Amino acid sequence: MASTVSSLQLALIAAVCSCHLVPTEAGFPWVEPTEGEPWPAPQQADMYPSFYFVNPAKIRFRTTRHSCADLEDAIGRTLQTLRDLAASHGVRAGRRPRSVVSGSLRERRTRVAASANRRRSRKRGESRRASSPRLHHDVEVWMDGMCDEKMMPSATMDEQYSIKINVPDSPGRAQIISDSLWGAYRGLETFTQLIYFSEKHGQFHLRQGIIRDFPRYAHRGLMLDTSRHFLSVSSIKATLELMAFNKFNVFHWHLVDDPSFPFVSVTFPNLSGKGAYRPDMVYTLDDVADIIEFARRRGIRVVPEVDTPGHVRSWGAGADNLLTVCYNETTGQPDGTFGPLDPTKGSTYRFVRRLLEEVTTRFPDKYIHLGGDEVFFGFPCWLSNPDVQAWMEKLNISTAEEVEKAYMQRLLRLVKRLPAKPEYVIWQDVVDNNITVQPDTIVHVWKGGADGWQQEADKVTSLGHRTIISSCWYLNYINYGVDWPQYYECEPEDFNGTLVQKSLLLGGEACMWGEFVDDTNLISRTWPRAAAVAERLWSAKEVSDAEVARPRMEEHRCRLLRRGYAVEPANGPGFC
Amino acid sequence: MLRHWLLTSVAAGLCSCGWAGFPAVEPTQGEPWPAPSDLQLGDTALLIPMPDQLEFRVTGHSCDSLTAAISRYQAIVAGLAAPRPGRRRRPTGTPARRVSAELARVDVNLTTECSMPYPEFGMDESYRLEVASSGATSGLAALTADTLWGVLRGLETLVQLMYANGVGGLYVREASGSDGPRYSHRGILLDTARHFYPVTAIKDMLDVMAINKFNVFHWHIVDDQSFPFVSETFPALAEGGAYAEDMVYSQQQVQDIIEFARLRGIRVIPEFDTPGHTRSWGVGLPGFTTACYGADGQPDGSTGPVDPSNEDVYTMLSIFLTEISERFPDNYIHLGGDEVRFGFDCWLSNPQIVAWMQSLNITTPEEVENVFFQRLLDLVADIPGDVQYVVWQDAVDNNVTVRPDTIVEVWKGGWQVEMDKLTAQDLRVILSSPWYLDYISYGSDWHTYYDTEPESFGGSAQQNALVIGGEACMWSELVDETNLMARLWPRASAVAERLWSPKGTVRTDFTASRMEEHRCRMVKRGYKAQPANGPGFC
Repeated sequence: MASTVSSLQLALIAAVCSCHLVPTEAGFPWVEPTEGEPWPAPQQADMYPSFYFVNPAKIRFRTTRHSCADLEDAIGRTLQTLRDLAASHGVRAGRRPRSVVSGSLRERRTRVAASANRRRSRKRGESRRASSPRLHHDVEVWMDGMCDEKMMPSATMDEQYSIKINVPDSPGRAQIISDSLWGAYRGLETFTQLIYFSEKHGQFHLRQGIIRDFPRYAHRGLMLDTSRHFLSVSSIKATLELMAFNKFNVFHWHLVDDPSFPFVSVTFPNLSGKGAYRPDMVYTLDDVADIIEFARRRGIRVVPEVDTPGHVRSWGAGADNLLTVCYNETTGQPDGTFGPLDPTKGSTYRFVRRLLEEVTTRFPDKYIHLGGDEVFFGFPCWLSNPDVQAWMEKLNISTAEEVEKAYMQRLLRLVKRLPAKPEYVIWQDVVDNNITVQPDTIVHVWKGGADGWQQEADKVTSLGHRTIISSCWYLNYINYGVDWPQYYECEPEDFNGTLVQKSLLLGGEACMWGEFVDDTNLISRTWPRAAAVAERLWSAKEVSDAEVARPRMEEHRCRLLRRGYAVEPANGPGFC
Repeated sequence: MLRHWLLTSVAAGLCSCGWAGFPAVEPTQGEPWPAPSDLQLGDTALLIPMPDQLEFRVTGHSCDSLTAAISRYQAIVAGLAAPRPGRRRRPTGTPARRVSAELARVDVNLTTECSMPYPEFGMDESYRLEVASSGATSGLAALTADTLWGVLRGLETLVQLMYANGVGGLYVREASGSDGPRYSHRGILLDTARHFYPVTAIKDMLDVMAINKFNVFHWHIVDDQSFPFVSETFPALAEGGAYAEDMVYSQQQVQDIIEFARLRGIRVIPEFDTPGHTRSWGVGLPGFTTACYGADGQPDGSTGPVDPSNEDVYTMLSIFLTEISERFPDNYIHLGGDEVRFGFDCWLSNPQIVAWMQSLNITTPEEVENVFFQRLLDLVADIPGDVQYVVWQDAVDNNVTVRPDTIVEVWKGGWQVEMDKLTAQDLRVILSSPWYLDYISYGSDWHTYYDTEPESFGGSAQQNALVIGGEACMWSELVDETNLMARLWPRASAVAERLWSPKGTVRTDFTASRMEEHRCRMVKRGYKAQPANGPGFC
């Protein structure tokens, strides 16, 4: 009692004399961040309790085996990340951080940079790591395989790498070792995440130890919907940057849909010419090539989706006689609305083939996503149309499901014959509707939310199809609270199935549908929530406890924020 | 004649290109938000030939605050006309407007003296606006108001009557009538303790508040998590309790924010919440908060609410709140008083407090809370000047005796019963329960905020008259500078219209179209207001 009162009396005196009390601790965040913990967690890591003091701006990379322009480019970007990191703590006033994001974010970064030597006295015990005194700034990048110009990331790319920092068999050295360019990319990213600013020492530390890392799943995707709202090229690039920081490797581009057609087709320029929201709300040839190249340089595949036969309303604006004319049942006349693609006309299939031929030529990835979801919304329209009715009679079919089946089978046949010989992904609906598809079809499971997808995964894999899971990762559905643990704890193999079935799981995708998302909120709504999915898809199955991950998530969110992206809070009250 | 015909077709945005996607909701053109109380809008528009040179003429009284406002709105008008790719067609369902004149000038007539006024509760915000496209005053926009505040609201409405047609033309709608708010207190609460916001983020918010005719910034400035407010009398509070050295609001910055708000007719009401929610205070002022004791009869290292048994606490609060009353020009301070119950166990665990309770012959923590709060109100009453206060409903719920002119903020569930109870006690109330915007859900949730009628609690006319307004609250557990703007707007706009527009303004499809335009209006003015209505574009 006596001591507490005297403290306050002291403070009262302080108030009068305007002298200052020494503060004991700062603020009360809910979760204290870790220091230098990479995200997603490496498969194998043996980190020592020791570290180097480093100045991130002085770190150099030497390619000690093979190299190529792409690797040098990645190294250049990594150096820039490190210079920005140094500048953000005032170690060295480098050039202003480069940025693909908007002006306000650039300002933020500059402001952060201005807050040099911010003193934090965290409540938690500081890390008990010991330093190795010698500054270490030379990092070897040992890439064993050759890298040719313009290598494309693929579904089978090798992403494994190792990092060795001051290990016994090569003391005093820092190495990033990989067989492939893609592994080098992932290793460089992890390396930057081993560097952190120590509040205790007021300097940067580089952790020491050994990491052997590789992804659990080959397909780690994020889907953006550029039809319901247009997303600017800079927003897409910012997303790609953040994907690379999180080791995502597939950008599933849901290019077009009912509300708008922003993709500029060379073959059918009227599609975007009339179906885009605005003349400038389109992706030109250059934009698309630019995005693909931007992704390629980060080891990210771009898988375009051209969704048919439903979700095509915007196509009708720029293409006559492509959509089914819906008829009013009572008057027997067209009611002015349109339904799915008209499956009765040969011209429909010729149109789709030419469009897909262009898309599969312009998008170098082996995969194309053919959609096929929610066609049932258009069933009444199909059944109302006399031409469709006559065609059904001719084919001796009687249900709309069979119409869908006839369309999809013809679509899949024509896709098989495309010159690019693409592999194709379809939404689960196609299989659900008992449409026979080739065994090599990849099925994208999206229904059932957090609890209902397991049966579907069992069914699809028991049919021998390779599978991608999205059901529990619909990030557009928002709720109050800390929701990333629910994404984190969705385990894709949690379904009844044999080992063979589970081996058919290619991975998963976080989906950001665009009903309520555009440039204003894309980044903050997607991140860091998608990072939870990133770790689930990259790290070992056993890395599954969100409580354990929480302090690492706190650090990771702040890491992304410091790199200049408006990534929202993850864990409740706190600060970066 | 030919010229008019040309103008008409351009205004209507007719062009052969026809089509542009399928937004869920088509926007209106030139519909102000919140809806004016008594302003008739015509189906005629006036062309603004050179928007960046539109003349604003002061015909009545003037002052620096007025000329600053006119400069702001001149820049806004110029920005509206800045060439940007627009829609290729007039939004479906929007009438083609006849363009029969050009807007030559805006006359601003402030009818009374104006010298550095500070906005206050009950201020007159009404104005008259005439935008004439025919007759003797054709081509003239005339804004008349008795106060600076009315001028500010009228200027905002005037620019909201303007719309661009996407081909470079800017138009203003014909209008005639008057407008004024339904409620005097139309606020936004921002919590700067759970996450810190830089001054720029707060100013951006104030700017958008002005677009929506909000007039109170309820600054929940400190809380358990951090103490970013730099006090002159107790600098140790921020030194100990801020998240970081630069995550504070300096004296200069606080003054800057108050002035920025004043120029937009927005009051700044600071909240210093006691006796609960004070963990961060205790860092810089050990002894201010209660030391909690464990089962072993020893302090367990944690702290609880303000220590009510410590006389120094009251001295400190008296000095501190005097500083607050001097630094914040508003007549009101928000004294908090919510959720003290979380600290009841701690109070009862502390032997000094138990002894103190015995000396006062009280036995329950509710009584402890009551004693503290009563003393707090008494010491506030002794602060020089007329310091009035707002408290959260908890204080009154716990039977603290408050001054009859106290304003009570209702924030809990079951608000209708509470509003009925408080107004029956003749207390003025502010409603915020239905407008906790930090609680997010999927979809167009602005509908719910819009549809809430504050006077739907079944009280008498006399009781309804005690409802002085409401506040949208943005608590910051999961919000900071990265997502504040998008999360707040346009959802808070729904609250803005409920509080400004006349009672009985109901939501229709037209409201959604107006919302669509309003959201895009904020985006075009440079603020990241998120989509409101599903697929679409601006």
